Amino acid sequence: MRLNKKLSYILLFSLLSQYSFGQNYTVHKEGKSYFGLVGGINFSLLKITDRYSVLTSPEVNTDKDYDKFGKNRGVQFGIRYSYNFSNTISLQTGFGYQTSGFNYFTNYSWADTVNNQNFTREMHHLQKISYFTLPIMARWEMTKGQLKPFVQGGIFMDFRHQAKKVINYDNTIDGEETENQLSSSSLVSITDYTRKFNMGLMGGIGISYNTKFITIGLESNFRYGFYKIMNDEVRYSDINGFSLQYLDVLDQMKLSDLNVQLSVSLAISNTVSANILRKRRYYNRR
Amino acid sequence: MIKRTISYKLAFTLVIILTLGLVISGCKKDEFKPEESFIKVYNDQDGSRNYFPLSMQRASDEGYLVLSAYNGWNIHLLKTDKVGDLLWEYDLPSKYINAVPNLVERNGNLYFVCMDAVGLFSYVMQVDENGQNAIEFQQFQQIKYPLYVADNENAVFIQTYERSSYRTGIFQLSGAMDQVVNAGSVPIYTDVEDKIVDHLNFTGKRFPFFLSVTPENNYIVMSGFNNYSFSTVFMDANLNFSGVYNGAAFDGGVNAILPLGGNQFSLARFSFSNLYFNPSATLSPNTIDIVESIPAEGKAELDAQSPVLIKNVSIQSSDYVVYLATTKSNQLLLSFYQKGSSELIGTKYLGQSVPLKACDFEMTADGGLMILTRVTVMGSYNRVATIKLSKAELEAVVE
Repeated sequence: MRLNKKLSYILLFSLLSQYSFGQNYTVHKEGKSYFGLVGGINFSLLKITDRYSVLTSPEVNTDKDYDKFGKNRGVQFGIRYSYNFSNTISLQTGFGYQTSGFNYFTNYSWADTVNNQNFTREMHHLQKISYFTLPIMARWEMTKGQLKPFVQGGIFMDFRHQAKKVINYDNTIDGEETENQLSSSSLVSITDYTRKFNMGLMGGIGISYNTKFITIGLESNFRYGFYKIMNDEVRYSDINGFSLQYLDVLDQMKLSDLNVQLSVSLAISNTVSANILRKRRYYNRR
Repeated sequence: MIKRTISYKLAFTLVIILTLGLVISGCKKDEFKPEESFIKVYNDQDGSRNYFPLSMQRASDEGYLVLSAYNGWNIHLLKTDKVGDLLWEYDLPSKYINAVPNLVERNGNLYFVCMDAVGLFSYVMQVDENGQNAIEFQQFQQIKYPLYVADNENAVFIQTYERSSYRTGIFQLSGAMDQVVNAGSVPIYTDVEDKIVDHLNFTGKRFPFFLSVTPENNYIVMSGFNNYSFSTVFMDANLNFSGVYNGAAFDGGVNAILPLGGNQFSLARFSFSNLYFNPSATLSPNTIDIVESIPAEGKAELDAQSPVLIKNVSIQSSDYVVYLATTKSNQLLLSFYQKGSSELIGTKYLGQSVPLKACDFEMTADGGLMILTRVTVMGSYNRVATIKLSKAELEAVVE
């Protein structure tokens, strides 16, 4: 099964390479600028650095159980500007808006054997943090054809806009949201619990297809955040009342994510010189 | 070519400068200490347990010791570390019941007073932090039904109910708490047995029994049963009756008193379901008067049946009198007054939609405020909880 998967990737890569090298046009972008739109989805990857809890007990493990990578979804979109220093090297920057999500799960139980009154509570905590993002990356496109695989890397800076949280809860501890018992807290702001700034390294791979004036791309980037994202000083201030009502307090963590996004770019220069394509034969003769 | 090279360099330099600037700003030193601020609920999965915190005292290792009652008059101790996490807890054997506020500190050790389940006499118990339990330190057969204990470093005073002679008693122990050095009492001319039993068992109204010594050590002021009411009685240094502010039977009286020196007192008094504060009251220790005559400001939002605590707090070198009370909507309310003045400087509410009850508070060594409270978890389970406010949070209240 795994061998088949590998063979499929190799075949796909061979086909793309074949297509890329067998094209009629070469791309000449040196000195050209592009303006584009990007958008896609992301998956958060958390590194919990310090754990905190409201409930303290020798009997109960109060650590939060975080959702796996694939369930921590978010979206991002933005505008992008690129400048090509050569036909294969460019600087990519822009301005975007990214929402990163992460979820965790807590549960508690009490047993009253005297009055035969047991109680269980399962809580699913859903958080979304939104940032204005500023990426700066260098991109190396591997071919000169219209279809260009590329690698890129650089830094990003995130400026927090807002953060929100909701808790879904039921009375059956099974790790799932039990639909017929499910209730939700109100959607509350946790903006003050998060730090205003984060930055880190990002890098990724992708592929772009260049036409005369428009470039369409598909890329995936991994963003590694340097800094802890929660504000320690107000952790227990209980601004939204969740600390005592839901026995909830946020852990300290670093946030990284993997994104997949589409881009559409348009050359910004006069229309005559914006055409970046040259017939391969013509180019070869010269 | 030269022009392009310059533009590359310029763009590259700008990116480097911007990046470095943000890295430096992001690398701001993290000065937060976890012990500065926290909320902790001390859980017990046994749903039949019902806790009522009584008193809290800072331990020698910067942690805190909490004395509580559970399921009536049973006694529970818990010890936390400096960030509020539970280190150990201990249920005293059923022989020891009815622990009374407050914890007393002597030479780095913590003590509390409780009662024998059969003989109804009093024990002074010493908390053994190494053994994670409490051991008998002294027992006093002549001191029955302890209700409250106060410490002024030189002596320890215990307020009691003298069941056989129908009197409210006051016993002065030596500073070492090994012998009774003085005693006094006031008469009770009505049957208060059921009230005492309800109070001790947490099955009815909890009366705000209280005892304090004036800074000059010339009077002991206590709230307790006297004549036909719940009254505020002044005793002189020899524990002889000096004066009284009579309560309105058992439906009015003084909840808490903080002697400020001279004839000045900060107090809270109740009348049925109404609560009144006077942070700068003038009382005469030699008078016979009624509590209702003490001028005070009504606090409509506060619950008169819940404990009220009044203590001195120092913030940014200024002295404040701080009241901790419970609102009728079950929040905690801290009210800050300039010491010796009736001017309200600031208030802070704690809690929102979970029932809290004020139990105790004290200033911490780092300039913060530690609050002991009872929280009703999930609307069902009464548990001990602590809320630590940081120095910065306190300063924000009085700014």
